[in-house]
Amino acid sequence: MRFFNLPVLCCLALATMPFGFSDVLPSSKLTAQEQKAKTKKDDEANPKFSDTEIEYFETKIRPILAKRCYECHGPDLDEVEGELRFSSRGALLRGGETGPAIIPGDPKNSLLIDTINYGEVYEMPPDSKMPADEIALLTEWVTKNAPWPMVNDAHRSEAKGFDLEKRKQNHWCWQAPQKTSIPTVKDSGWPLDPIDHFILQKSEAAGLSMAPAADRRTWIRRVYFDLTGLPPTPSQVKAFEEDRSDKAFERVVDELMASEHFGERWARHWMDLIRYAETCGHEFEYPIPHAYQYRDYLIRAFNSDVPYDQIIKEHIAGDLLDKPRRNPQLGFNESIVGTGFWFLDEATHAPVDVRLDEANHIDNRIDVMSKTFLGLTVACARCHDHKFDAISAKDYYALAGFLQSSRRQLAMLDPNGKIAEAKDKIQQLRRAATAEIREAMKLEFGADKIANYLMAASNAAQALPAKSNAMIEGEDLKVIANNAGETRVQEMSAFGNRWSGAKQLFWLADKTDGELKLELNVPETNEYILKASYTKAPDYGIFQVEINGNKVGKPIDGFHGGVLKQDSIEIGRIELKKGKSELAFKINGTNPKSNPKRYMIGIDFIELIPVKELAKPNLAAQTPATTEDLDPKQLQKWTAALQVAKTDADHPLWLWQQVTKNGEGFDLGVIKRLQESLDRQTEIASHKTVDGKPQLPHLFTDFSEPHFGDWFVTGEAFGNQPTQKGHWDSESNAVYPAGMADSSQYSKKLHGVLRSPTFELQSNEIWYRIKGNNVKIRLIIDGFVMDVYNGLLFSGAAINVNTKDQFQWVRQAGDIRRYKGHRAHIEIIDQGGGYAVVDKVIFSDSGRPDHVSPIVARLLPVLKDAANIDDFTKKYAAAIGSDEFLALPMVTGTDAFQSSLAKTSEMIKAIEREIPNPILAPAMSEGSPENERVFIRGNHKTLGPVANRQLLVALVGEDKIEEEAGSGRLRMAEQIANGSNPLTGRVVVNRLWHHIFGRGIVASPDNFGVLGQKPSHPELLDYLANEFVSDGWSVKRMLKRMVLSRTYRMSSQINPQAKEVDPENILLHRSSIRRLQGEAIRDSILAISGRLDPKVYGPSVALHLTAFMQGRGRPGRSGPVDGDGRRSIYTEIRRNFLPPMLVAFDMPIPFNSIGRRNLSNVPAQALIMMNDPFVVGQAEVWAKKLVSEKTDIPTRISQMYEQAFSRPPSDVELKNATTFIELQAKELGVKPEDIPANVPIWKDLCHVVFNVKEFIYLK
Amino acid sequence: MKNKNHHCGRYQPSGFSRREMLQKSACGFGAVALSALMNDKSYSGNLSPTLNPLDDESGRQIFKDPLAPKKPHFGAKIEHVIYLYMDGGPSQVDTFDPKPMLDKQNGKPFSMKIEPTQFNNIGKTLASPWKFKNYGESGTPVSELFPNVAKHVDDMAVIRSMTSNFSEHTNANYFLHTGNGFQGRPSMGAWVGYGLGSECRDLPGFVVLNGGLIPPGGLDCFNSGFLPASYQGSIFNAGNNPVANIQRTERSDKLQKNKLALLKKLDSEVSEQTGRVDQIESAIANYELAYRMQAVVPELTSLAGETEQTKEMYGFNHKWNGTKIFGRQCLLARRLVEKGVRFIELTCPGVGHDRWDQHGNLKKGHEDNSRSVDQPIGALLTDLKQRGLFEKTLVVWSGEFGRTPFAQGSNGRDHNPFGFSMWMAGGGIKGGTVVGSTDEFGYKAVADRFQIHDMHATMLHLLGMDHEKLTYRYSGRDMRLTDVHGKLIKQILA
Repeated sequence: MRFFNLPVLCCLALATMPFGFSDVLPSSKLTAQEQKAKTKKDDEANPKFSDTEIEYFETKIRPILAKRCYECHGPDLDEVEGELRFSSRGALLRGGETGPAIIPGDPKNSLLIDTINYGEVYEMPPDSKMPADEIALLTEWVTKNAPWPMVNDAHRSEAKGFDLEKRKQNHWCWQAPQKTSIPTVKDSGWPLDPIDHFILQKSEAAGLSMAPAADRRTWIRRVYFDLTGLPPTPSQVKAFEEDRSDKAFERVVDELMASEHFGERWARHWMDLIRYAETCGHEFEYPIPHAYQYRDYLIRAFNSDVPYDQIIKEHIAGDLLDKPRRNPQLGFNESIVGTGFWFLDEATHAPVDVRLDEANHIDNRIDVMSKTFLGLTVACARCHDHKFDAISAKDYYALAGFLQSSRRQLAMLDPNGKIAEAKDKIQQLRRAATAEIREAMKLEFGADKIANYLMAASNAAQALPAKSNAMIEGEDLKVIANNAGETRVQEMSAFGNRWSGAKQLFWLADKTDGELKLELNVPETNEYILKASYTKAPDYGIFQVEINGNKVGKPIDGFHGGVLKQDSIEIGRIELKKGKSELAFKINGTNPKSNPKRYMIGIDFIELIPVKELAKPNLAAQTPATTEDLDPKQLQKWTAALQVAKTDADHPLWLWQQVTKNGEGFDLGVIKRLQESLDRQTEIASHKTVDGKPQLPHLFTDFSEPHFGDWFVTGEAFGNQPTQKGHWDSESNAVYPAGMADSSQYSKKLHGVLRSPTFELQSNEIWYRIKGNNVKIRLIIDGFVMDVYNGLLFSGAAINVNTKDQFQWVRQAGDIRRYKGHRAHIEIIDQGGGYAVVDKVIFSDSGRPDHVSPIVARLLPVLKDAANIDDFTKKYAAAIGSDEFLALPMVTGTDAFQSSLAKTSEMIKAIEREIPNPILAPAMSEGSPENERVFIRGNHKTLGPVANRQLLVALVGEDKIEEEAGSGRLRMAEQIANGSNPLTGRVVVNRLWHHIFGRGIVASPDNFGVLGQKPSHPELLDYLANEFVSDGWSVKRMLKRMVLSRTYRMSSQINPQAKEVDPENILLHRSSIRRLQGEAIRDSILAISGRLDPKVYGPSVALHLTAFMQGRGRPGRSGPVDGDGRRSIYTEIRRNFLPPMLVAFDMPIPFNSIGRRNLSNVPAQALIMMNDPFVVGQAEVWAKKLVSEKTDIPTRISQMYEQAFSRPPSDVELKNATTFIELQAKELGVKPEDIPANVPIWKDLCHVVFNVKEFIYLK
Repeated sequence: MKNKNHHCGRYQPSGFSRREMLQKSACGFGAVALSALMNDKSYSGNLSPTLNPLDDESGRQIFKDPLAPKKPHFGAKIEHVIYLYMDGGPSQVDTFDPKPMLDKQNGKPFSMKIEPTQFNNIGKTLASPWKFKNYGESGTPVSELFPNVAKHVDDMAVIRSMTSNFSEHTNANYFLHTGNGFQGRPSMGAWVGYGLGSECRDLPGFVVLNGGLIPPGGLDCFNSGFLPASYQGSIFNAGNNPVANIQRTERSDKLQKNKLALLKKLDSEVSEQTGRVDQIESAIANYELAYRMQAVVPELTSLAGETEQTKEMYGFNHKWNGTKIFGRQCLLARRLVEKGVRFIELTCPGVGHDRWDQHGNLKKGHEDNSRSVDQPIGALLTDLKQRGLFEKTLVVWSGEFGRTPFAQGSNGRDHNPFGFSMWMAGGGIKGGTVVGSTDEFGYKAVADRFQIHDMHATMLHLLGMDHEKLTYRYSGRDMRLTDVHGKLIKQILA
């Protein structure tokens, strides 16, 4: 890297990538600081080299260094690049910003050698790699202990001083606002408010006379636009004109502040600050869902005059407030919505360096937050201490820590608390029912009875035609003929674990007339239902099933965008004779979407189910109990339970089934194998984390504690803790196991997200033992969330879970192996309608972990010595106890008991039906507390010292966030939203002033630092800041004072004398002429044409698309040209497709805080006003309205002037307009008497009125 | 390289009067369209057509007329830039950087260390499907993809050691255009307008001729960022309606003129009342420019006065639609140069599948893309030379990055920011030069490496500007197109 000595320019692009994007700093390497310390002693022990060695250095080595390195690191330069100077051996040992340059004798670990080989951290020299022979020589030199003549330049330290305290003392913005007295003025009759004293005093001192008052019509127009962004109606103007009371001005202001349009106007100012947009921009313009909730939050906040300190707290830490504000209509947590602003930034979908991507997001967030609330350019300190302000790089990374300790969430807002209320009711009902069941169980079952039932049920089960008899696995099918491509049995576990037998019969059919014939053994002559389960994939064909040459059902399309297992579906019915039949699959083409075009087929299994079987009564129910005291109904349930137990390893009867081979045999070998499995499981659980790295496989969590520990829960679904005692689930009429994170423990309808603590990813795979449906598990790597839109480089980071209501091991793998060493956390997301019961999470590189259920673990030692099946069964029954049977549906006991449960179940269902969906909004939530390290030169691969989380040292001194306080964001928010903060109050009153008077007291509202503008009226700024804080941070009251001041009432007439003294009107001796913002221009057009829909709030109106708005991510459909008549704030803001009219009139590109918009004057503005279909169309809407009112020409023209300019036309204007009307009539061939009713003529006049400059300029 | 620049380096207004300016900027047909309006005092009295009230963050007023021509820092070699933007990233080893080693290693595992790629689907070493031939006296090798461009190698400088900082399209596009990988910065064309103003009063100083493909990142690749909007790129679409809102909606010119005449009267009434405020005066004058553009743009894009022979040369009669489209854009570019437009950027036409972004089907994709642009670019260079415009114009050809010498999958190539080729031709360029080199596989630049910043610095230099002095204060810093980087690519300078 080259050397730059630029006081003003900063290294923005260092935030991008140096060459060679390796993922992370190799953890084996020490940080620069640590290395420095380590090598210090080597430095002291600088050996003396022989003359030969010195000669070798001088003749072979120094010439290379001089030629290749001295330009930027030379011994004689005033300043060197990266604090590294090739002046002595000691200097290289001390090294530069990133640590020692060489380790003598160890070229492999010498940064210099790595660098000249274009290594991981640097590539030097930057322009061209050194020739191989020079690299070899330098390597040899380091190997030979790096001889160098003795030079002692240890005193020459390269680190430059950064005196934060001095900078703080030397710049005004860090000093607390002064308590200023109100200045005395000569013209004491002029001021209406103390504000006016400050303004007048300065003007008087400059010898300026103040402009006269503007006429009332000018004032009311001004104040309407400033407070609501809309023009007054003629009747509003008239009412004010006629109101000659003292309170007339105040009455108008109060009315405007009570209007909901006030919030719309002021929210938009704040949206400029927080770079509001509803899409992420970049290549595909992915959405930021529900972003408009933040916009509505802002409008509501300004309308209800939420104290500004509260607004700040809500923005920074609204998720953490003890007593959040409640939404006035819907009662949900309003405060949390403020945190959405953090996440309205741009985002790319497949960053090659995700850590850098995260750093860039954090940078933007720090930049926006610090500019918006503090008026500081903190982000300048990303790569080095701030060049001008009292902000160190450490300050920057201290702030970064807050963001690393926080996460993005989609807040689930509870309308009127109805969700929580329903949850509580269901919880009570379920608890009561569970207690009832437990009580019943104790009475019902003793060990003998259990043993009897088990034996009896197993006998009964033998009589049942095994369900699996109907099922023929694809891999067991015999191929008898095939004319197209090979067939093979394919292992499907790579595609998930949904395949029965984990295999399929795979036919690589490669032509359209392919036919595959399979042998089918029909057990008996019967009418059968043929069912089958297929795989679907992008290159699978369409096929017809035939049996013995007869078509069964319709053709089946095997196409799907991904690899999918189709559930067993009915193909059709057919009569079959006992014996061998021929099952054929005939290729019938391929789906148009399939790519590549192939015709393959995958068969997981087929089922041949006799039709009469369906009509048969349940066999088990007919089987007589073998023991008289057994209740047949109960026995039926036992029989059914044994069926379930075959495949459910957590079932209390599973082990019995395994050992007795479903009642047919006896194999204690099972016990032995399970014991081994249990041992492995225990071992995994005992694996520790060493230096932050888990030994693999590693049990990450098993939810066995009565709390979620350092996991984070949002929403209601997961409750406050993992399941403790098993509890009854009304839906399945079963009892769930304990020690699970269960999002269905109250209702499957509830939404909730469970987030893990942050960990360093160390395994290729993460395994979840989980039961669930329609839930998502996401691995968030370095805060990266865009994988949901595009899995490129992040395949496997988000997986959908559907385990068909059985516990399964679900694997998260794919690209996550790329991110070993990165920080990550897990999210288990239940968005309502689905559920997840999570047993445990294991990090593994060695495949599927073992699982032995707690019941089995407890039974193994008791059963290992059983003598025979009877002995085993008795021991089993004695050991198992009644409590485990809670998990069985048979426990529901008597009819009365059953009906009691059924009643509870109905009550729960009724409550569930009433549960509303949560309102979603982007928001922040807590993560694991972390401190960031300083990135040397802004490079995340060169880490410096840890920067503990805290607000800027210049503001709060050395501060400390306790770990138990979580991220500490709330503390930071309180320190910013504080009257003692020298910046916060000043920054906000200056913003208000900027919008009211057209120029801030500090003209650079986002930068109060050294490079910003000095305040034009520093005493006034301090006065206002103090007043604002002491008046409870009320934005409305402060604005009211401003607009009722004498200063605001002045005319904008230019006084020739002042043109010399104060040409830019910095002293405010008059009002400034101001152009309206794009939004106000568009909104006025709508208001005047009569098209304005005053509806407040709600989803954005789709953007109107023109032919000039092209590119990736273009929405499929265009919105209405008039935006449905809604105010501009409701127009959708898409980063790559910004509304052209608003942008032409300087709506900022949403990339950073823009407290002061550009005011440009470009032909596109004129072209829009002249020719844009929106403007022309609204002229027509207005004209139609005017024409329909059947007024005469002069009245109509007057009315138009009153509407558009809040004043009547002058005689000349009236005459000009009338003449124009006649001219257009002539041109259009309209007879004079037809003029009043002719829309095109009036449209033209309306259109001209829109184009008059008075329409877009406020006098 | 050091920078001793401690001051802000901002320019002062050049002090031209408006009349002088109009004389200097003889764009031709503007005057005709203007005559009707110019007769009136209110349009000719105050000669500050697009006065801009904006001051930058420092609070100091920048030049009154943002588009007034300004003196460069030193003698400019060129007045115009035509940037041929090969969106998607053409492959260096298939165009201007032949690598025999790829033929030898074709199909074998790639033997260098592979950096993370955009798609992480690493295939085998992939030889170029095209042959290279040496052209001209310089013997510069060019692949079969560019037979027409190749005829001009003796007037071109090929840089084979370009690098970018980003592997993702959008970041790389922003980086190429603005010197920064994220949204919101001024495009290079905007910086040029800011630095030099415009020679032409009827057209914007920065025009993007949209061939059909707006690059990822959208129109913000051509925006003015924190610079005043006056400098943003104007998008000219292909077809009859090239600029947004350029067509009057009135049925006849007379109807519109009546309206504008009334507007003028009503505006002057307002002007009287407010006492001739600069802002309002300049907004009024702005309509004048807009009205002129209404006339100028259609005439320009109608290609009136171009011979059939010229059109044929540019590929108007080519069977391949992409060639027709790009040929038209190239011809328009030349016409814009003639009108005095400073910075003209061309985006690629769609070729039925992807831009130069061949993650698969390299052969077909690159052939379709080169078929679209090769003949038109060759014609443009010829035409510029014939008309004596070549010496005052810089033509640049580049993508946002290159492609990997190893395959993505079996027959594509992934993004490669570590080393790629671009070329420049025209005024101030030493023809027949080849600068820099990549390694033997064409993967990474190893000798005379250059960054995008260096390309920007060189471009500004040719326009007579020191990239370290072209600054604008924003966000507490004096911002530059080249950030804190950039060095001249001296080897290509004549």
